[in-house]
Amino acid sequence: MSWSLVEARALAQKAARGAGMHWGHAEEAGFAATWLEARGLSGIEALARYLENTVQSGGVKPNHCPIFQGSAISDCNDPSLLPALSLYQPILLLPFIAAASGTDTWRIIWGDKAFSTNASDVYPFDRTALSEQIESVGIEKSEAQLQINDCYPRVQADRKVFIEKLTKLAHRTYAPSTEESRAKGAGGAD
Amino acid sequence: MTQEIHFENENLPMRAPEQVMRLERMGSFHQSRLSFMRVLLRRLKRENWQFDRPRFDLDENGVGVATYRVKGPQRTYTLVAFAHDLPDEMRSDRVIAEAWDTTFTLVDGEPSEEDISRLSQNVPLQEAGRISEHEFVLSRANRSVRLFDHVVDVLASGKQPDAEKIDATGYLMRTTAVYGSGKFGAADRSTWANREEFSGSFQPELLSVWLIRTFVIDLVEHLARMKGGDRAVRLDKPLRRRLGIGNSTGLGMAPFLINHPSLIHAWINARETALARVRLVAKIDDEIMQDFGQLVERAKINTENWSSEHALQVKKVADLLSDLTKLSEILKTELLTNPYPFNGLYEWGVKHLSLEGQEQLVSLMLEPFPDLVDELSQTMSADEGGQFRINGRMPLFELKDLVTEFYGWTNLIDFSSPEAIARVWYTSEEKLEPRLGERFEEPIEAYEQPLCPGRDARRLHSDLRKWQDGETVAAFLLKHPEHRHMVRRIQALTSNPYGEIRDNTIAAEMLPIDLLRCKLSFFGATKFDPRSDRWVRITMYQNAPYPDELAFIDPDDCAYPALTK
Repeated sequence: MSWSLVEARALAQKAARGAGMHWGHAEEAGFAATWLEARGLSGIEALARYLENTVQSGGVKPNHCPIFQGSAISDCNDPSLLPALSLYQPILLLPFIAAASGTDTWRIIWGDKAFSTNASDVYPFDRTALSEQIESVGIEKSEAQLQINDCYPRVQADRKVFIEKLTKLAHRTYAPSTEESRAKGAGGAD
Repeated sequence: MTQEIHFENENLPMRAPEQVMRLERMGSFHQSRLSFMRVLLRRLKRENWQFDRPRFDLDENGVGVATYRVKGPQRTYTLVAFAHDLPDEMRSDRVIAEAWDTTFTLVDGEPSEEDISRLSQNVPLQEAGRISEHEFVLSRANRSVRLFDHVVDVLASGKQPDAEKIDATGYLMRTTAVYGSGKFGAADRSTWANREEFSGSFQPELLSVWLIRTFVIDLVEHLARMKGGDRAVRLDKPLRRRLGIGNSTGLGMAPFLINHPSLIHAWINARETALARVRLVAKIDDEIMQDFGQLVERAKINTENWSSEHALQVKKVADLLSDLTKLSEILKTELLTNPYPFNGLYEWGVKHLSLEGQEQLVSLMLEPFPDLVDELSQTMSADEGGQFRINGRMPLFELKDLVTEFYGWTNLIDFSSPEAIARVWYTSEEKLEPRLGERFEEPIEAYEQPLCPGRDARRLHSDLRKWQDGETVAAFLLKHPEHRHMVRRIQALTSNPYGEIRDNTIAAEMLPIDLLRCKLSFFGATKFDPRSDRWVRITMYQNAPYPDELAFIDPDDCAYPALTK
C-alpha cells in the first residue's frame, strides 16, 4: 500500500490545520511534507512528529516552527535571510530553501547533519535526518554538485504509522455530527 | 460552410469577470462544445479508439465482474466493473452510504488476474478500500428503482420498454461519486496529465462514466436473459441511446470551484474566448443560419423535456422556454443577415432574455463554429502548483490595488450583519463530506473552512489599511499569518481573473446548487434537476452514442434532441 502525493498533501494540510496552524501555513506544510517525500526523504514523518509536538506543547511557536520560518524565506526569495533560530525538525526547511534558491545551491547544517539543496534536489539522501529536539540551524552557500536522487512519485508504505498520526490530527478539523447537520446534508435515494 | 472572421486575440470582446462570475449567472450555465464529455467523445471518434469486453462473468443474479477495454493510438485503459447484490433498503445516494449496486475502477492498461483479485477486495469498499498508482478512477452507481426492474422485466418478456417511461427517468443507474486525481490511493493527476488523450479536464473520470453506461445496458440485458431465457430480447438501439447515466451531486462538489481558482479560470476563459470569437464572425452563410434556427428548435425540445419539481428550477425552465420562443421569433427577422450577426444576436439576448436564456444562447452560438471553438478545449486545465509561491517582495500598495480589483464588490456587503455571514462551510466528522451549516444555530464556527474569499478579503483589507504602502507582503505576513491563504489567492488571481466568484459564498441567501450547476455544465450535463437548494440530479451522456456506435454517429450532433419529422 502507498499513498498518492495529492492525498498525502491534502492530509498533511488538514493535519497542520488541526494542530493549530493558520490555513496559509497549513498549505505550506502540505507542500513541504510532500516535496520531501517526492525525493525519498521523510517529510511525512517529520511533519507528523513536529505537529504532535506542537499540540503537546500548547501550539505553534513561530520562532521554532520550520514551516513558519521556511515560508518567510520563500516569501523573501532569499535563503540567506534565515534568522539564527532553533527549530523543530529542520529538515522541513529544505523545500522552502530549495524554492528560494534560484540558481544557487545552499548548505543547511544542524547537529551533525548537513544537506545541500537547490531548486530541484537535495543531497545527501538521508532518511534519518529527524530530530527529537529543537536544533540551531545554520545556512551557507555551497559549491557542491548535487547528485540527482531517485524520484518517488508515491508516499511509500513504511510511512503508514505517520500517515495515521496525521489522520488523527486532521480529525481535529472535522465537526462532530449532529442530527440537525445530517438532516441538512445533501441527498437521498429515490 | 463559409464564414468571414476578423479577430486578433488581444482585441476580443471578452465579457468582464465581474459580469460572468456571479453565482446567479453561473447557476444558469449550459453544456457546450467545450464540455468535457463532448471533448472526450470527439477525440475517441477522431482517433478511432477501439472497444471490447474481454470479460463478462456475471451469475444469474447479475453478481460478478466485467471488464471494458479501450484502445487508443498510444495506450489502453480498462474499466473494471463489479456488480453486487444490494438489498433495496441499503440503496442510498448519500456519500455516507456503505454499499452500492455496482462499483468501478479505471485501470491504466490491462489488469492481470492478480490485479482484478486485488481490486475485488478494495473497489467494492470504495472510500474504505485502497486503489493504486495503476488505477485512475474509483466510482460506484446505484439502480434507479423506478426504471431498472421495469426494463429488465419488459425485456425478459420479449418486449421493448415504453419510450415515455425511459424518458421520464432518463437513466438505469446513477453514479453517486466519481473519484479521480490521487483520491484513495489512485494515481496522481501528474502521472497522466501530459497524456494527449487526457488533456483538458476530468477526461479519465468521464471516460469511466461513459463505459459505465455501456456496462449498465449489458447488465440489464444479462438479467433479462437470466429471467426470460430465450424469450428475452435486447434493448433497441434508439431506445438505448435515450438512456444516460444519472448522477446525484451534493455539497461535496461545491467547494471545488472555490478551491481551484486557476482551473476555474481556465474553464471560463475558454468559454468566454469562444463566445468572443463567435461575436467577431463578420458574416455567415445561409446554411449556418438555417442550422442555427434548427438548433434553437432542438434546444426547445430539450427544454420541454426538462422536468423538475424544485420551484426555482420550474421557474427557470419556464423562463428558458419563453426565451427560446423569443429567440426563434427573432431569427425570423433579418438580424442574422447584418454584419457581425452573432454579436447582434448576443446583444439582443442581453436585453431580452433571462440569465438562463442568455447562457443557453451563448452555448448555442458556439455550436456552428467548431473551427473557432474546439481547439480551446486544450486550454482547459491548469498547473496549480505554479501559482503556489507567494511573492513576498510585492509592495503593499500593489496588494491593496489587487484587493480592490478583485474584491471591490465586497464593499457593498455589510459583513457585520448576520445575513452576510449566516453560513459556515465545514467538514463533518461522520463521513468527511463538506457541509454547509448555520453559523448562529449550530456549534460549528470553530471548524469553518476557508471557503468565503469575499469576507476574508475584507478582513485582509481592513488590516492592510494600517500598513504603509511601501512595506512588503513578506513583512505583513510575518505579523499577519492569518491572511496568508488570501494573499496567495489574490496573487494567483492576477493571471486568473475568471478564477474568483464575485459573490458572498456564506450569505444566508446563497444557493449551493448554483455552484454545482456551473461545474456540471462544464462536464456536459443536461437537464439539471435540483432536489433541494444543495443537491442536484443530472443525466450524463443521454442521447450520446455507445462505443459500438461511435464510428457512425457524430457525438456533437447528439447534444440536443433531434427534430421530430
